[in-house]
Amino acid sequence: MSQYVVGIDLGTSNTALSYVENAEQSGEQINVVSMPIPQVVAAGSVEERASLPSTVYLSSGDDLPHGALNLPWRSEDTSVVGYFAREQGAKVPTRYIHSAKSWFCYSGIDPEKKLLPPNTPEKNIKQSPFEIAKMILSHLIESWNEKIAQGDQQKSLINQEVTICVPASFDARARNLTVKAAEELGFANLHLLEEPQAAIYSWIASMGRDWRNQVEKGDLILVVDVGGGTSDFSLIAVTEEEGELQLRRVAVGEHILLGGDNMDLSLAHTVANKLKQQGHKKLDDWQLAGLVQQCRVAKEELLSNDELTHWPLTVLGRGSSVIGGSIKTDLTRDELNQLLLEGFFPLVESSEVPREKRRWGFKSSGLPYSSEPAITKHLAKFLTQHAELLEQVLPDRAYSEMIIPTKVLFNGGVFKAQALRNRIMQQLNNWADEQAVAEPDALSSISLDLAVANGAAYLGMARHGRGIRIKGGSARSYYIAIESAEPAIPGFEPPVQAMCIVPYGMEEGTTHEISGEEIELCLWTGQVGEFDFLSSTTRNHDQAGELCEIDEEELEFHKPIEAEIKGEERIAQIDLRAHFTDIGVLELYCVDRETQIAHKIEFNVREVEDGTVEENAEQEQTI
Amino acid sequence: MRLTSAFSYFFKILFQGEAKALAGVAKTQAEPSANNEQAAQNRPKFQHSQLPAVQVLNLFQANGRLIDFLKEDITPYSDADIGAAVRDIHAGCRKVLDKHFDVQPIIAKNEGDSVAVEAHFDPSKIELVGNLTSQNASETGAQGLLVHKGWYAANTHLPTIADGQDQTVIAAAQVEVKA
Repeated sequence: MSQYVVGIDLGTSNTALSYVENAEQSGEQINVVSMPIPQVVAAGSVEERASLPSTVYLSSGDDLPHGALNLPWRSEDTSVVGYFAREQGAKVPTRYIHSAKSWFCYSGIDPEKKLLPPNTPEKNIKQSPFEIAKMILSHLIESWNEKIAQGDQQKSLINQEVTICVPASFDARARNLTVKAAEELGFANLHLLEEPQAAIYSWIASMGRDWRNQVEKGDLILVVDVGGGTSDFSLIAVTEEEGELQLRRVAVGEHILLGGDNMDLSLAHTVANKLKQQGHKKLDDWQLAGLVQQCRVAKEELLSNDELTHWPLTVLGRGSSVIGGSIKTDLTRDELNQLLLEGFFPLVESSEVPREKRRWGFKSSGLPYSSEPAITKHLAKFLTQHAELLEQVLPDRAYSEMIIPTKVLFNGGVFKAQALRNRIMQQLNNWADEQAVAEPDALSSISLDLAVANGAAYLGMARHGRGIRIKGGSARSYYIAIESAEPAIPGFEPPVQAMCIVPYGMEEGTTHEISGEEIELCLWTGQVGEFDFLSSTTRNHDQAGELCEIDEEELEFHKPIEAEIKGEERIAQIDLRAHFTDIGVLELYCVDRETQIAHKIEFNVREVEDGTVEENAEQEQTI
Repeated sequence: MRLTSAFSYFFKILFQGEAKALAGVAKTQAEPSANNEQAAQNRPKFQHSQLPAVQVLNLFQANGRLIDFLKEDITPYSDADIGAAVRDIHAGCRKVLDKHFDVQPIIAKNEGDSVAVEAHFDPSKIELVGNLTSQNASETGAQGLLVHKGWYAANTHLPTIADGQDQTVIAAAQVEVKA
């Protein structure tokens, strides 16, 4: 066991780190400590902050005073991570990178391709989302080594037992990539944990002995996690084994790029529009950025104080004339309610699902932000979509069209506002009444910003038998597409089926061997074989090796995966092997039946730089 | 059996807060070991401004646009316009005071309250006004009404600056480059 057990919340908008020091515990007490992260906060000035904005600013080396980006432990003149990157990025958007993590789970794009910042005219400064994740992790390593290890190799971060949190909705490729980033930096003892589960661990740790009185066997806990950039839902079932309560994660939602940042942005745009209609000059980017900050404050004030009817906003002039150039306005409660409550949290029928299409085409310049802002509709979809699955996982529960949880745990900075927590509860209560079942209770959550990192550090201890662990296994089932062996008919595509290679709930540390014999799975040696790769968050009954029809409602296509058997040209008959590692990543192999040698199947297929994807993207843009 | 012991550990985890633990961190910080001397020499130097007064103006300007405000001719504007802008300026400058000076009252009482000034008080901190008699207040102390509670900077810590920073600059000129 390492000297420290560390949890890292590598968030879309903010990164945080918490740890437990083993030596300090001696079986008597276990303290989860949140480490403040030193970072550049102004040119030439470094301060510690509770979290590190997951942002990077790329400097040309001469756009800032010499030494502006230096860190206490090393000189730096080309890039900066964190608070100052965000400040500087508001002024120079073409050198600013944010939300890099969101690109990990975007099936149209290779996250190892240099594509950020997306809109910069300078192609040579571009970085890949993968590199950005490494830069943020590197900053954590350096901060830790500066503050805690202080040159002691044994204490350095990469030698500690580290749990990195990922969205529950991250697919196998995104998980593997997260681990790859960490491993390339030297992390030796690594685990992944789903963020909503981390929130549950943090809740357990904060509840103390009492948590067992707060839930009971048969309870179903819904975790609603709305962070800065993403929304993530999970369902955790409370079961009983040998007289002890157990927790089991039974369902996770899709990856939804929608969060608190969208809310502040939409408030600012509404206010900016209002100003335009009143005949003011169009705000420039800098003024809009300032307005976004003010709207965030206005939102928090109005949501936390019911008596306020409006909150004054002032957009100061940009030049040296402050009052002359300033524009006054208000954010009224009506506007806030209209936008936030009706826009992002409308009360909807259980049958209302998001009105958005899946987009498969390549887009080079932006993330696939959710086109449906109503979080309640995404929630309705999640709870409806998994109703059938739950019936099979928890047969004791009465079946209904929509799952109504019995408990709700909130996570993410957005839910600091009581009004928004109440709104979600009101929505769930409405659905409960609709389904004629009991209304759920909210579990009290603390430290909404740091819960994920704290929970991950706590889990590190739980791994050593010092606390309860949530069971889960793979939240998705995975498939490869198989063309059926029928004679080709001109003009018709041969029918394609999906073969399950990783079943739902596959436990960490287990392996499935899948025979390719029956379907005559084979691969030309000496060539790269490509498989279409699919997954589902709702199909829980497929067994490894089972074939099923491809229903695009249930199965999501990912980028193809590749395998190669080197050697003289022949047709090799192959079997497949799926291994879900202890770390929490999926490894796939094809096994040459003749030689019994296993060849790794690659998820993270590198594209040729300036290859076809870019061309497609540009074509699409010009259309 | 194992379960029981697991849970007994477990409960001990729960009652510990975060803040408490932070105190424990400091004491574990050891002196940098000798083999790091090389690294220590390569560490960049962080410097303080030789013109701290200008730096303070810079902070008020960067956070609250105070210099812009003071340099602006405010005569043509209505009180309402000025008032609206001042809210922002006030909030920004207030942050600077709290963060870099930790401004505290010298006498933490309500103005208008009756206060006793002890003998041998520090006249730089407490100013006696009104009907002073020939009696030496420094020897006897004094009784009076608190007119102004006074302010002092409990803790002045100005941020470091980049070594390439021109220290006379209060706000850099800004030029927007259009694509």
